[in-house]
Amino acid sequence: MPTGILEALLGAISGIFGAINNVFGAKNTAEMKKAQVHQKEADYSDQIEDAIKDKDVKKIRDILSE
Amino acid sequence: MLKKFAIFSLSSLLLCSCTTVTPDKVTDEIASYDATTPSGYDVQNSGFIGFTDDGRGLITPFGLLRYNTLIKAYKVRFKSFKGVELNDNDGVTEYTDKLNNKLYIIDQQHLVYYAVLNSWRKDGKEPDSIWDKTKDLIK
Repeated sequence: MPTGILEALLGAISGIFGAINNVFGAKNTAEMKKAQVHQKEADYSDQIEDAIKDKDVKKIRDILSE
Repeated sequence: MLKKFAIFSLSSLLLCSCTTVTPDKVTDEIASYDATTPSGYDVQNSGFIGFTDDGRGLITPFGLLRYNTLIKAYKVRFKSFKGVELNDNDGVTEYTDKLNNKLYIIDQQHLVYYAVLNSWRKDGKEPDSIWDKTKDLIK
């Protein structure tokens, strides 16, 4: 295989992995992690509020277990 | 060659997109026992007796003790995370039931806070350090 084609192929592979990293690597930034933690906390608070609204004693006891 | 490359690329893509970056909340399915529960109530209650007619929560003396302990442990973190400063017995009032047992009523908002604080403990979040408390005092 000529060197030029090989270089072009390797360049293309590198470009694809660069693009993948740009899209999915962003998940690992501090802001993304913080946002994800906040989202999980908000979802959990919603679950608690729903259990209180429904007066679901079992669920609250499970949530408050030690 | 092209087929192998395509399979490799797709596998990498799938692996990257499946990565979990933050742990999920710890959830339990069994209530814990509370020895301070007055007779006549279910003992396996996690310190929570039930709801009043207006939707507030009824907790045991040990339930209140746990609530206050959690406030002490996560006061600064909670203030920074939720923008609310919690103090001992916040949202709690005394209640005496028909059998003259001393219990406590906690309002809905503070019951949510109590549950959030307890979830942090289950998640293994570190309690406020002396440094956190000092920084909070200086602010």
